[in-house]
Amino acid sequence: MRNYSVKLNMYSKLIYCVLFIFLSDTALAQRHVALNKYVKDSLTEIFANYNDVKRMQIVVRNDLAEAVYVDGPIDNDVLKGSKNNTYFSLKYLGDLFFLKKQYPLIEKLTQNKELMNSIDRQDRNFILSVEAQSISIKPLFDGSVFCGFRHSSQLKFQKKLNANYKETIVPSGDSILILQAIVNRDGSLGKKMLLHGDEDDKLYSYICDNYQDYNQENKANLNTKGLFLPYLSGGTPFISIIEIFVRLNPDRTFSVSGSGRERKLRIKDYKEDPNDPLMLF
Amino acid sequence: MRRELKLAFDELEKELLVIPPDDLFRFMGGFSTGSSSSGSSGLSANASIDEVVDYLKDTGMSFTQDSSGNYYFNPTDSSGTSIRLDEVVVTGFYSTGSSGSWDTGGTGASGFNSNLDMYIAYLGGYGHQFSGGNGSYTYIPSGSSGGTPTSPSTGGSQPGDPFKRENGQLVITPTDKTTDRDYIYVDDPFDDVILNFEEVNIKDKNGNDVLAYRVVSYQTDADGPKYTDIPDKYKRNCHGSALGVDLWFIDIYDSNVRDVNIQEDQGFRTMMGGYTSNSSDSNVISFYSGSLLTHSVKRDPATGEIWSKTDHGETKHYTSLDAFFADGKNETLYAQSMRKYYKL
Repeated sequence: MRNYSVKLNMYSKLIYCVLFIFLSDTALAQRHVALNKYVKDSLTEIFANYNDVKRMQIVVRNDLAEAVYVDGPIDNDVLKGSKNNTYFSLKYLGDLFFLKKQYPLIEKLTQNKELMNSIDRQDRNFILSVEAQSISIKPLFDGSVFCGFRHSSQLKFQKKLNANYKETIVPSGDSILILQAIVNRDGSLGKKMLLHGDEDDKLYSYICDNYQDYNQENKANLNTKGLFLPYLSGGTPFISIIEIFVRLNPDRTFSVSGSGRERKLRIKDYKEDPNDPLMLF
Repeated sequence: MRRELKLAFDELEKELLVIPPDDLFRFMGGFSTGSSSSGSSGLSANASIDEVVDYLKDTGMSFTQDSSGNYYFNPTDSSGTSIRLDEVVVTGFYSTGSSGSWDTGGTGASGFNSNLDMYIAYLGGYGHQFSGGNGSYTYIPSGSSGGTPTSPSTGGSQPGDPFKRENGQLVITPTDKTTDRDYIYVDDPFDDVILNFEEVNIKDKNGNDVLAYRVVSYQTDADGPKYTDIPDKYKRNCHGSALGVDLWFIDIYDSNVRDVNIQEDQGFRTMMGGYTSNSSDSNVISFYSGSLLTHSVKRDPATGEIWSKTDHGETKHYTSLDAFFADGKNETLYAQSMRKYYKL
């Protein structure tokens, strides 16, 4: 059996050449990765400003950029997971916060509609792989079922935060907390650490107290009402990691967001059980 | 001049990377797109399983369909055992990087010119023989060619089927327990559904109970209605898919069902332990992380091809185990995991 792939022998190349001559101004020419000037200039600026960035891989699903991998910079604080490849979800507010802080030019490009409009592609789902001198399109993989918020419970928890808020709870910092936590197999949270914010902050206490209240109120049904869903493989739950973003907005409501996808262990006092390992994706 | 010509070829190769598979093979005179006097199948490369089965029926092969719409090839020869054909999503081919080179495997490309070729290869893995090629085949029953199915016989059970059956059906006894899996995540590529399961016991061929979970309904909202028109891909997880049954084998870890220290997939693991094999003969491979079963794939021992399913997602086909590892994060998740090989 042959693969779909094509080996280009000379005969084939001649045929391609003829095709190229006759069709280059029509169908074929419309199908390559042709970026417009704005995008080209943005990429040039990105690689000129971030010398340690070797490659960006922009994940596109349903014609929308949903994440970006930044390859190159070494992150020595990582205890488990890749040290030289960082994933930023464009749907998770915590990753957007860090992306904007660390790589504002990349964040600006991924948010610009010009990026998607400039790519003439065959599929709505793909990875745009960009290096300083080359651009290519790669297939998108489905991956695993990483841990995350249970959607219905997240909405209820957010309502609870909004309802219980009192004006006396004033953040000492910038009103944003970003937390990394272990998600146990039953969906409960284990060890945690703040990636942004202060543990002495009243806002942090407020979030933790409301989480405990939520669990208490739903203790009889945590299997269906719990706030977090563990990583699943074939339906079996595994220990994993989630990162949680909470922001007190100017109108005194809360934004809550989380992601368990492509997280890396940073919690220094977490000891992994080899029989019950930490699953990361 | 040579350099310019090389650049032109390189550029052309890049341009051609984004031509749809069908268009490319039509340009190159590959598979046929219609009936022809050359005897080609008349099927497109991405023909549906229904079209493929229709074509194979015309070659003299016998198929039946169960109530869920699954097709079974029923040989009329001495093997006398049916083989289920699962619908497979072919991910096609893609560039592997900036070089513009074609992928020769490793990104989930099907490895075949057409879906028909793939199903022929799959049936060939069970020892069935065909003459022809390139999208045009004639089935050769074993009685006429001397061919013998290569799949092992497992007593009264079908090859590759470790379960006891009565009138072709699994022996299923509900335990009266229920559970669910909530897949309504915020940042997740899979269908946003809650799958509702009933727990059942099925019998292995030795009469031992094996706990499993059968999807009885699904929801698209936690407070919404339950739907019983269950899409085929929801009916089995990776382990069920590898064994060809519409069931999930899960360590539920739900204290509302039973003590979480009891692993509900233990029956599956014990049963599979009776089919331990070496890597080359195996037709199922399971992966473990620590003491926990994480994944299973179906393997064709004749060709080394792999079929893998993730939770309630689609089944994906790979030309080899290495190609499976090369897709996405499979290398990280499974390549270094403990593997167990089984021959059913």
